[in-house]
Order: sequence, then structure tokens, then C-alpha cells
Amino acid sequence: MRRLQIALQFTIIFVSSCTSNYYEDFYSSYEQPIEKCDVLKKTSPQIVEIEDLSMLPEWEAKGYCVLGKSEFEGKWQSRAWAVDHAQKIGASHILTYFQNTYMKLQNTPMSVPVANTTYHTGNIYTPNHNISYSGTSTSYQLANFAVPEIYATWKQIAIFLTPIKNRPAFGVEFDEASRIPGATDSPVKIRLVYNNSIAEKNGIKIGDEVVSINGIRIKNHKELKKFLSNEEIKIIEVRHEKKHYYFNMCHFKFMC
Amino acid sequence: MKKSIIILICVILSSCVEISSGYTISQPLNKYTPISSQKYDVTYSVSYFANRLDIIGANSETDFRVKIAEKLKKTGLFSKVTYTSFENKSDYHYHFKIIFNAPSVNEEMPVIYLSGVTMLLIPAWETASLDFSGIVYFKNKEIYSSSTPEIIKCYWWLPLIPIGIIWNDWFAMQHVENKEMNYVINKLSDFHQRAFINK
Repeated sequence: MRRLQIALQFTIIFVSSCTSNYYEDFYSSYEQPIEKCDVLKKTSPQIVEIEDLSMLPEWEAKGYCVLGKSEFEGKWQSRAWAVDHAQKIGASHILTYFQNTYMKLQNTPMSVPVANTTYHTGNIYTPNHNISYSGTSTSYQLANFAVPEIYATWKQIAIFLTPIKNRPAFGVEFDEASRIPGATDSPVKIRLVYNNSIAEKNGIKIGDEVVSINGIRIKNHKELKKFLSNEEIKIIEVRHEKKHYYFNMCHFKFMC
Repeated sequence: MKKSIIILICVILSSCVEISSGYTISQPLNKYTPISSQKYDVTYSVSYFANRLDIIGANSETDFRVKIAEKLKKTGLFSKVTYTSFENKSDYHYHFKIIFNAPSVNEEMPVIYLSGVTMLLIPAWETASLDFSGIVYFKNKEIYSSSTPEIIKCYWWLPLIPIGIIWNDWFAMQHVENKEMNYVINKLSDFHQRAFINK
């Protein structure tokens, strides 16, 4: 019975210590009705660091809608949980920013019991005997020390975005041309692949570079814009993004 | 030499096996070869937030500064890489924000107590995280950013002790920091390539 009690105590300590790290005050979040938003079931959400909420209309103008918003404060938190949450609700992008950052270096006091052993020797004299004795005695006392830690409070806000429901027939969206003054036009890349689309079924991935559409070579955004104003996409040829050093650049052709 | 031996002994005795959770894919640093007229000067700054200063293998802000500069130079995209404070940023500036979060001492104690009392028979763990972000500023305006998180789990359990000799604090932290730096710098380089350099 005693053993069972000890085991139970350990289990309680174990469970409480291991689960309390992050979940206790994780997100206070709201999620919007999703009629107008396209929920993506398989996503690898991209995290975008923004300065403040003034950048949100820019994203909405790009064709994204807000799927949800979460905020957490008071503790150090990783954005990994925001990634998990985005995957759960089907968001393609996470916009994050900090508010009210406060940091202070502090020393957390700790104490541990330290054994203090003393060695005794002595003699006891009686009229008839002379007795020598020796022995040890141990007492415990607390040794105090401090661990340097940084106390911080802040509010981190995550806004979960997903494309507005307006799926293109082929199921891909292209990245945008650079808007930086003086920048040269660049090759077109796949920005988004929709669930259950022709593109997804054929293995096209986010980040792939567009080589040609309907057999016509597309070198940059200018050519793409000209092409899309006249024709619909029927065949798209892409070059997979080089991700690992042991993969070679390869070409694939897909037909719809 | 003495210091490294002491660290090695401490690491082995800690019996903690560190495993990263795979939020960030490990990848090598991309290298480019633009012609010299297409190379730009870049300044960069680093903001480092860490709640614990005593984690073995965790880079300090100075280490990050040096490593980021080395990696930016290795991309081959820039003619000059200079560290500056965020306030004194140039027209083309990269700002790196690094947040390292380990459990506080008070959170850590019950786990260590449990594993110590049970002689590592019951598996116990704690979780740390490292978030790494890179923001590109062009003429004082944010034009691009990339961020990646990673969760590092530290297990105390008897059967895992042999693995802990390799997957220890130092190795795991270096691995995670390196892969996150590579991921973010690759994203920034890719953006720079698309935005500024004619392929």
C-alpha cells in the first residue's frame, strides 16, 4: 500500500511537471467563420514577422483572409505551437509580432541540503579506567545559491491567414513580381498549391519554379502576365526547388 | 583542455538525451556566384533573447553575430557584410531575432528530482525552444521576413544514456542553431536573388 502511495505521488509530480511547461496558458484565440476562407488541410505554414497590425490590410489585399488570431502573454513561448495550431485549422501563413516586451535579469534563489560531518575524539577518565572514544556525527544544513535567469513578459500575437475561396482551375497560384524599385524581374515560382487540386495530385509543390505553361517558356512575371491574359493553363512544367544536397535538379511534366 | 574535459563529464553525467522535433528541415547553406557588379553591401544586427544563461552548447549573442556574418559571406551574394546596431541600420539591412526559451529553474526542479529519485527508471523530459527570424529592411521599410521555430526535447531515461553521449546538450544545440540559421539565411538569400540579381 505504501509503495502504491509513493508511486502515485511520483506519477502526480511527473505528470504535473511535464505537462505544465507550455499548455497551461497557451493561447487565448478566436477563430472566424470560414465561409469565405479556403481551409487548407495539408499545410506547411510560413511564419512572417510583421511590425504591427498596419500590415494586415496589405495581406488582405493580396487575397488572404484571417482564419483566426491567437495571443499569449506572460511566458516565453515558441512559435512552434503557432505552427501546430495553423496546421490544425488549415492556415497557410502566420503573421506574428510582439507587444509590450519587458525583460529583467534576476537571480532565482535556490537551496540544497549539504551534509556537515564532524569527527570527534576524546578521553573519559574514571578513577579506575581511562577510556578513549572516537566517532562521527552528521548534520544537514541548507546551502544557498542563485541561478541567473531572465524574467520576461511580453505579448506575442499570431494571426492565421488562408487564401480567400477562389480556386483557380489548375490549383496553383504564382508568386508576385518584386515591387522593389530598380529590382529586376525574376523567374516565377509556385506560391500556393490547393488541396485536392490537379496540381497537388501531380506532385507540384510550393516553391517550384515554373519552366513553361502549355509548352510556352515562361521566363519571368512579365511573360506570365501576358500569357494568362490570353490563355488558360492546360500543361505546366516545373522545376522542383532544390532542398537537399543529395537531390539533383530534375524536371517533371504534368498534364491535365 | 581542462574546461572541455569537465564539460564532457558534466554532459555525460547529465544523462540527458536531446532530440529536436523537426519543425525545421536540415539543409546546407545555398551558395551563389553573381558577378561582382551585382554584389551589394549589407549590414546586419542581432537581437538575442534567452531566459537561461547556463545551458551547455547554447550560443551567446556574440557567437551568433560571428556565425551569421560567416554564413552571409559564404552565400557569395554580398561584397561587404558589416555588423551594426538596429538603430544605425543602412539602406539594406538584415535584422535577426533569436529567442531561446529553456524551462526555468523552478519548472526544471520537479523533473530532475523525479529522475534523480527514481534513478532514471521513469522517463522524464523537459522542453526548450529556439525561434530564429530574419527580417529584411530596404530604406528603413520591412520588405521581407522569414522565421522558423524548433522544439528541443531533453529526455532523462536509463535506456537512453548511451545515446546521450552523442545526442547531448552541446551537440543538439549546435545542430539546431546551425540548421535554423541555414534555413533563414537561405530564405533571405533566395529573396535577395529574386529581388535584386538578374539570373
